[in-house]
Amino acid sequence: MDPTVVRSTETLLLDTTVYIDGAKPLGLPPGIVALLASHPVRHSALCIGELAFGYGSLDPGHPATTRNRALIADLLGRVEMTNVVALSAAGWAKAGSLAGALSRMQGFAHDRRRALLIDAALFVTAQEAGLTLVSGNISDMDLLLQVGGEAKLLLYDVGPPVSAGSAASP
Amino acid sequence: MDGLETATQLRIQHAREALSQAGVLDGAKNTRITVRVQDRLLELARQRSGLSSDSDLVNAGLALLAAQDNFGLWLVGQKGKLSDDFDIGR
Repeated sequence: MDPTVVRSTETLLLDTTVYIDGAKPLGLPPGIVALLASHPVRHSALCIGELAFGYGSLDPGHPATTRNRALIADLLGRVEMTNVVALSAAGWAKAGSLAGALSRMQGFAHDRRRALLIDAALFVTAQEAGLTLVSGNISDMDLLLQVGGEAKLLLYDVGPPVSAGSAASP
Repeated sequence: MDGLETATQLRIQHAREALSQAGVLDGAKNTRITVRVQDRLLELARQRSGLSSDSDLVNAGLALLAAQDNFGLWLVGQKGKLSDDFDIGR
């Protein structure tokens, strides 16, 4: 899906990568920046948890910790709870099933399996809520798109937007 | 109901909640407005919103305009505020 063809009526769901890449020195690709500036955004409770985990895990002795904590704290403070989307119990079941099967088929190690479960939960959250998921996690989202059913996905690399998809499972 | 309808209804719901929390929706509805619109516009707005009354539709449209979400705009203005080596540790 090209960012320029995302309808003005679409609401975006952001992967954790978007918050982080958006605030790093390189920033997001121009197409994603334009999309974020012009579309309403919803937040996944999963991503809020991941960002908070990142905040908590920062090394107090690292020279960049003060600035990184300031940005994450500001970001979390700006998330309105009414704009947070949570996954249903049935959605968690679907995400677990998808991630488990994909992990087995791909031969993923345990750490990667847990990461894929989070990605699958985010993927299903977007499906349940009818939101367009924006993510920089191309490899895992591509896998989920192949077996997880129809979803509105906008994937980017830290260069220009690279891919795409709104697709049905085979 | 498809994803578009769901997203529209979520936007209306969130806009109303934000405006309600801000006190904008307190008090009586004491201003009357009359507008002319195309039939198809009204029909599509009804379909997207799930609202049937003209008054509810106008109120929903005004709520969406009044409570625009600016998080995305804020986020793209934060470029460079995280260090390049920041990692959430997943």
